[in-house]
Amino acid sequence: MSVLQNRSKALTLLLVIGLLGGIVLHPTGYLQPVENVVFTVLAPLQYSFHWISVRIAHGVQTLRDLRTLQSRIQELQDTVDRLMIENVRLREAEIERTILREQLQFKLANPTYELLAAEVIGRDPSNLLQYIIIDRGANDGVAVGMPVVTARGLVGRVTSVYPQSARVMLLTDPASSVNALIQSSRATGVVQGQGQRGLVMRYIEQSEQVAVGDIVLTSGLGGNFPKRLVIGQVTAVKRNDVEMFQEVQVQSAVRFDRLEIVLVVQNFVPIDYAP
Amino acid sequence: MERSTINPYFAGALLLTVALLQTSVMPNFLLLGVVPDLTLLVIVSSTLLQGTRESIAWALAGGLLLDLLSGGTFGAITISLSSATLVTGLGSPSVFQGTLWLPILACIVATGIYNIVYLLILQLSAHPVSWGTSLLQVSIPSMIANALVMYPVYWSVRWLHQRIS
Repeated sequence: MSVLQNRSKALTLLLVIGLLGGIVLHPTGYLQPVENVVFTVLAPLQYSFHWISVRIAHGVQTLRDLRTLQSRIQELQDTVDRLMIENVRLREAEIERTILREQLQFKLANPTYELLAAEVIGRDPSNLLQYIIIDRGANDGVAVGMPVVTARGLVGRVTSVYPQSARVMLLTDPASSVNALIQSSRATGVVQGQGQRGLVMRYIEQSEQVAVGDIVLTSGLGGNFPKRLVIGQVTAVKRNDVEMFQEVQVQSAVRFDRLEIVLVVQNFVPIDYAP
Repeated sequence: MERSTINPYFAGALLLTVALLQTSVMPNFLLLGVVPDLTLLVIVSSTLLQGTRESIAWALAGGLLLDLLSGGTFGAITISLSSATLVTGLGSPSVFQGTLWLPILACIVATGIYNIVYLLILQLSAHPVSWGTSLLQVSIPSMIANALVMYPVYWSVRWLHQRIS
């Protein structure tokens, strides 16, 4: 017993001496080699303990998080859904804004036209015919024969009117024909629809000069359409010496298969319109 | 062979929905530059499942609905659809009954007849018709487009037929 007590006393004394020695020697730097040895030995152990404690802490945190994880996932999913819907809505609004801006520019450039914006709500069930149905009708003042345009050019004309909707024959319908002229040469002809193939301008006299790139406008002849509405641009000229007339392919800037909003020219009264 | 039939009120509602889909929704999903003839496909499917007699009624109802929505000669779609239904109904069950590709074959034949009869009626009613362009750029793409969507339509109608008839 006394041996143990003596050892304990000696150890305590040794530690006290070590403490005092450390207090005195540490500022002078004489302890540095001892410290180096201690840190070299302890650093890997420290690292291991730290690594384990961090993993345990993360594990505990994960266990805590698991309780709320399900509800957070649901919250995030709801946010994603909401943002996705909002994104779609904003994209649609942007597209609509672009279309309406174009239409507004057209209206500003043509102040004499009384224009009524209409949305395309349907198309002809047959692929062989080119008609659209718009959401404006007799109740909005739409009448048979009124021209329909977009900022990019002439679209067609109203052929039937119902109280809240109207049917519009597109320029591309095979039954559609519009008196037209070439802007540069003033050569006149008739633009006819060719269904999927677009538009062709016929009955242009052989003597007239027509070139690719020329702009085709409505001539106003016949009184079915106002003058100077853009129909399209010449993309090919077919001239044959044995024919009485030349024929040109016309490319409209209007995407007839992608029409969404159109403008009905309400203050134009066609003369003797027969659908 | 006695075949089961779909309730006529339900058939009417179905055809109305399909007609509206064809004129308002399908134009946004062009296949080969054409709109699949959804009503025609539903009626062809009905012919294969119910027989010609019932399907003629479907063709008349669906055709009249489409004629009302169309800018073409009134009655042209009804007559074209009925003709397609008759030919499909006469030919397909006896010759190819039960084969997996029967719906596709019936759809291609029906689309061809539907387009040709429709063009004939347009021609007779003084509507300008370019046969070459119409057949090459509309009818043939329509046959392919319709064939592409025939199976989903056929299976849907068959599913309805099994549950509602």
